[in-house]
Amino acid sequence: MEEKNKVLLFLHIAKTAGTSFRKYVDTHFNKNEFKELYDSDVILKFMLSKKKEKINALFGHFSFKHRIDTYILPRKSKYITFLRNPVERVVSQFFHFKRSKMPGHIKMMRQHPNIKKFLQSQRGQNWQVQCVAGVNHLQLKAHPKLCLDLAIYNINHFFDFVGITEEYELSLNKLSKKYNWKPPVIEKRNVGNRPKTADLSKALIDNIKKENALDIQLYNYARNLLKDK
Amino acid sequence: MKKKINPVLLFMHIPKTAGTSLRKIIEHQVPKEKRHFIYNVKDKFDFINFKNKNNLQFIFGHFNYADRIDTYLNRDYKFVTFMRDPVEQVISHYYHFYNSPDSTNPNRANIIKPEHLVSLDKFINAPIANNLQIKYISGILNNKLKIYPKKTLELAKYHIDHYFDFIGITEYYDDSIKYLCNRYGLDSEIKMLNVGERPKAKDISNKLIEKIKKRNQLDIKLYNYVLEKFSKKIK
Repeated sequence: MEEKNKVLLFLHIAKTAGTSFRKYVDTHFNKNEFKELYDSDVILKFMLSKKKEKINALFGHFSFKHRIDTYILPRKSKYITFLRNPVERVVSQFFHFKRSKMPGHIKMMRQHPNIKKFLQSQRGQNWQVQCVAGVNHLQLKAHPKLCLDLAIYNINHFFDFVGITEEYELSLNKLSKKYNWKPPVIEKRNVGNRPKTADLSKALIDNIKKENALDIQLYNYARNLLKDK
Repeated sequence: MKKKINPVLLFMHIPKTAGTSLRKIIEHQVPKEKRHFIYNVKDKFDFINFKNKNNLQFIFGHFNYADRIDTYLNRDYKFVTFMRDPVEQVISHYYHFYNSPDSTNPNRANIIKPEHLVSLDKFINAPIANNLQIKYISGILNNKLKIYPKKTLELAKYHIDHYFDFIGITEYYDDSIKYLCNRYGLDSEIKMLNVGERPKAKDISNKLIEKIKKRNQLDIKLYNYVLEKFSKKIK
């Protein structure tokens, strides 16, 4: 009973199949029960809002350091997230920004106009570890190994479930069983048209892997966790 | 859930606000197993993995609200910090870097770029010289703070009203320390430490002071808010 009353916090890391997953989760909550926290503006507004007692689920591009869980206290919560093969995620993120019409994204593309340059940006380097550990880019650079350890610690202590994009069906099946939800109909949304990773040069892929070595370790850790459960 | 005991105090040490003096008091008076210092990610991780962390009385260091130190504990907590006149804090911070010999410190490269240390005039363009105090208290960092200044200020006040037990004022150092020590069962030692040799704000050109003020509007507003609360409490 107590478990059921916990607020579901879906930490949606960009380009990890979160959008299709969200559509599935949506069906288990009434409109007034959940809220989307996708823009910083909305996140800040939510932190300051006094009307939170009806909320049972929050989805959004917030990071662990936004501490959304503490703004709904005394109610308890459980984090869930999806992790994706970091090479795929970085490439997908790059082309997502490239297609985007949002001023912030356009600005970012001007500063990082190709994948190689994008790999030097905050979102091109171990972004999944940053979101789960709740650390910023500078902390990550100063203490990379510790940030990975912190991300793993957080998964073990704060996360109820971590899905894997490449194991989408398995992830949804396990989650639906865990929460007693009706089985999912698998469909993918927000799938961008972009070159396949296989079309990129080996040198570039190796470069992506090098800049995302921590994300790869976190991903492998979570993937094993999912398969063991 | 475990039964909660008396709150642990989380001293958020905002740079150049008299925290080092307070740190010494804690080092002198609180037994080692009851205190923990956090100054970087390594210290934070040591704390998280520390077996007896729930028995700590004082956790002290350069952590900000987004570091969520409190959430790694299973007990009640209260934040405590010091705020300082933002113009003084910025100037002091510059001379702290300028005077300290440890420029080889690997952490420094992540905090500040060498070009910002050329002069005070350049330093005030560095992110750490712009509204650093509200960044600590709100947990909202660089670009978000610029885009949403009003909400960030509101959030910082909300944190202060709900999670901070006391905020001392560097300009009223003796009164602050006396109040704080009395409240938390410490003996007050009112000797200021880590006081840098530097020009006073009054020796710096008006034009530069105005620039510092302009870049620290949020800190000035928050400082005034805290100062008012402080005066009511200390009277």
